[in-house]
Formats: sequence, C-alpha cells, structure tokens
Amino acid sequence: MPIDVKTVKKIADLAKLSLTSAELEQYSTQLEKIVDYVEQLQKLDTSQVQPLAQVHDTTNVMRPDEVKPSLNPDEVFQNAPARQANYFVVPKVIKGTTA
Amino acid sequence: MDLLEKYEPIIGLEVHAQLLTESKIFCNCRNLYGAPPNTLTCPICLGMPGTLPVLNRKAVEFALKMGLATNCQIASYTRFARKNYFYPDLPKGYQISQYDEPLCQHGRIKIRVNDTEKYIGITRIHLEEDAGKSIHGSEDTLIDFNRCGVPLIEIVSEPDIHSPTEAYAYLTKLKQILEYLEICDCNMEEGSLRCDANISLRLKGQQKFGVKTEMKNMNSFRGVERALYFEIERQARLLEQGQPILKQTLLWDEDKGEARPMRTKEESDDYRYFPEPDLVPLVIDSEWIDQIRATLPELPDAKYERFIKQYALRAYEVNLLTSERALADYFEEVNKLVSNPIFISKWIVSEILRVLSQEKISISNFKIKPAQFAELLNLITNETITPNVGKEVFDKMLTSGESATSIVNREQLVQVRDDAKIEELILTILSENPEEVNRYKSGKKNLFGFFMGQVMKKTQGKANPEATMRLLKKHLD
Ligand SMILES: [Zn+2]
Repeated sequence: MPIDVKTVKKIADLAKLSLTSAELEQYSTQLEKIVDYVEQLQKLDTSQVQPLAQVHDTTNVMRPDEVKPSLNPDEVFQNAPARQANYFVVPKVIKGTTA
Repeated sequence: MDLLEKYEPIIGLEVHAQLLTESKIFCNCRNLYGAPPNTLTCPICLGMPGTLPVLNRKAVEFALKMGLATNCQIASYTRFARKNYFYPDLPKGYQISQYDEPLCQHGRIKIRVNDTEKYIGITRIHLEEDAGKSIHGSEDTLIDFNRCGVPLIEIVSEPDIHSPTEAYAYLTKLKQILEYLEICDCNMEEGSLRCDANISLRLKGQQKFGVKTEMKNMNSFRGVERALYFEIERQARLLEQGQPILKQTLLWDEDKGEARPMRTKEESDDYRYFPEPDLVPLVIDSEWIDQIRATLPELPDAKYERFIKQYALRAYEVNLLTSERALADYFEEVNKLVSNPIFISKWIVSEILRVLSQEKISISNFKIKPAQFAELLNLITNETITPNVGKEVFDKMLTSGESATSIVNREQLVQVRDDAKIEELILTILSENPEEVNRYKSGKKNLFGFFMGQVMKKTQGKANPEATMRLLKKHLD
C-alpha cells in the first residue's frame, strides 16, 4: 500500500511531531515497507475468526468503590519539569488551536 | 422569529454527568470537587507508565441505573476504548471511554412542553473518565489533575429536539432523573453536569439534514436555551442570504449573549479509537440487571402519575412537588401527619417554595422539618389559629426555629371563635365608622372588605374568618 507524504504528514500532526520535507520523504518510503510487510496478513482467510482484542478470556474485573490515600505533593511533582505552588505548569495552550 | 416558521431546527444534546462515587473510576483517589490542586492524584490518574486501571464497580452500577431509568437496552457485552488525543489535562494521551460497544443504547425519556408530552430518544449512555482542569494564564497553563479519572456518563440524545424550549425541558428531565437516582449532583456551575449541543436547520418538510455546528461552554440550562436561540437565528440568517453554514465548533459567551467560533473543522476529529487493552470486557447478565433494577427508586414519571391519582392534585402542583425527590418526600411526610393533600400542597407551593427560591436552598436544607410543618398546619386545620396567623407563625418559625405551638402560646395567637366576642367587636367598629356603614347600605358592597379588615386589625388577625363574615353580614345586610 503506497504511503504518500500527505499521509505521513497527517500521522505526524496527530502525534504532534514536526518533520522536515526530507524526513517526510524518508518516512513515507520506510512506512510503506513496514505496512507492506504487515499486509502479508491480509492473505489469511479470517472469515471464520472472531476479532480478538484480548488474549485472555476473563471478564468483569472490578474493585469496590473505596478511597485509599493519594500521593503527597512531593511525590506528585517528583517528575514534573515545572511546578507552581501545587500545579503542574505547561506551555500556554488554547484548546482547539493545537490540532 | 418568523424564520422559525420556515426552518426546522434539529438539535441533539450531549450531556456529561459526573457520578457521585466515593472514589475515581480507575483508581482509589477520592472523587471530590474543590480539594486543593493535585492532592487527589496517584500514579494511575497521573498517567504514569506501567500503571493499570481497575474499574470501579459502583461507577458501572450508577451508569446501569441511568440506562434503566431512561428505558435503554443494556448491552450484554460491553468494552472500553481508547480515545486518543494530546492535551495537557489528559496525561495518558488518551481518554478511556467507550466507542462501538457502549453500556446502554436506544432509550428514551418523556418531556412535557406546553402541556404536550413528547419522547426524546437516547442514542447511547457510556462510561468514561473525566480529564483534568487547565487554568490558562497569560504566560503559561496550570494543570490540576484532581478531576482526572472522575467517573462520567455521557448521555447522547437523538436529534429529536426541535426547539430551545424542548432542549430546556429535556435537560430538566435528565437532571431530575439523575437526582432521583442520587448518582449526580447536577451542579452545572461546578461542572458536575455539562452540556454540548449540535444544531442544524432545514426547510420545513425537507428530509435532508443541514450542516450542523457544535455549541459548547454553556453553564446553565437557561444558557443552553439562549445559546440555541442565538445559533438558530444565526444559521437562519445565513441560509436566507444564501451563504453556507460552516461545520464548526462555537463557544458560547454568556455575558455577551453570543457565540464565537472555536475552530473550523476541515476534517473530522481523528481519535483513532481502539479497544482498551488494559481493561477486560464487561459481561452484564440479566441477574445483575435485575439486582440494579430492584434498587431503582420510584422515578419522576411514576411519581407524577401516582400523585395525580392518589392525592387528586392539579398537574401544575404535582409538577412542582415531584420536581425533586426530597420535596415529594417532604410532602408525603407532612401528609402522613395532616392528611389534607390539597391544603398541604397549597402551603408548600405558596410558602415553602417561595422561601426556598428566595434563600436559594433546596428542601433538604430547609429549616422547618416535616413534623414541625405538620404541627403548624394542624393548628390551622383544627382552627386553633387562622390561616393568616398561620403565615405569621410560619415566618417566626423560620427566624427563631421555635415550634408552632410554643409561638402560638407565647404570643397568644389562638383564634377568637367566640361569636359573642366577635359580635361585640363588630358593633364597636360599626359605631366607629358610621360613614362607611351608610355608604355600604346605599350599595357600596365592596366596603365589606374594609369591615373584615377592621375586625382582623383589632384582633391581630385572630378572628375566625367564617364567623366574622357571618356576623358582619348579619349586622350590615
Ligand atoms: Zn488516582
């Protein structure tokens, strides 16, 4: 299946990656090879096979509605690149303009 | 708006309701509004690598309750899915939601608009997790993850709603059901109930739907109604001018009373849903459904019908009395002690509801409890005090918290029923007002109220109204 530059651009946008035009070219060739390889699976007749989302057949794993202590603030922010008071700080975002 | 004669609005609503569980949907953090930022978080709801979600059984049961209460079909097999998008308030990079296998489908609820009943279809109700909250500053954005992982149900209506008034009635009904079930506190200002709307117009009689826009950011039911009116007019004007409707998301600005476009969707959102591998499917058998069904309270429609039949009240009053489960319970508690439904309903509607709306409180926070209120009403029905004095005592109970009996005793408010006493008073009043008596006798019959008023004034409202009327007539006519 041909993967054109436009498709690579869309995938990159969804993943919030900015790629140069050279990279777009490069990845389109590489992705095409990968997809072609996986596409061998299409040759299998799966008309008699149920779609499988999970390999084990357990169902209904649930827990009772009980509260347990949350983390203390120092633990919460241990990996945070930026913290202000008890908030995580991220670069300014305005919803909707990012996509 | 004459354009509404020409165009038919097609409205669908998406409502998100936070469930009143103790803990979050996939972790044991407390589910609570208003805690200090990020104090209700753990590795799971912070989206740390290597953590696994475990489903809260209560959240599923609450969603099932709503499904049953809205006449949905409950899926026997249901699954969670990942909705992928990047936004800082969603630390995992995906929201655990449901996609093609939702918990509940094909329901409906009944609404009443201008005395006409109508059903609005429920497309689906599914479970999902809430995202965190962003606070946008001028320099950067602050994130609080306390809300992240709070259980939500998303209730999607069919595009059966054809006016802002119907939308308002639909939302009111949903809220009523959620409150009856005690699964959501429905506080739009705190965001525990949120509503987005899809709106399109088409020429009346046409089959094909027009291009729809999405309206967000309404924070009250009246806001939804206003936003819909705004958008219907805007679309109608564009159509009249032969201009296209753009497929876009609009943000409602309540203060300005207008909506502005948030973004234009060149292509539809691509969330790349796929089955959530970290959660196993749910199998819901009839036994579980029966168990949940057995816990359902009497629902608004059933209570409404019963109140009409059992208490012979008018639709208007029953609507008010059953608007809230606690209010209906209050009425029934009082009725056990007074057993005069029409009288009680009149007092609740005219006095208690007035106080509740003045003080902006709900019946559960109302100071006078059913037994105390019943005591007051009994003092009126057994003619210890007059209805007018009753209203005074009611006001005093509100301020002092005293019982009706002790107020009546202390202030000597027992009504005067002794004919001789009232008659004596009437004779005094008539001799003090010869002018009015003459005018009355020469035909000014509406002066009767003046004489009634004089008697009430002299007795501080304590004279028995029927006796006063009878004796006044005797001496005047
Ligand atoms: Zn947590």
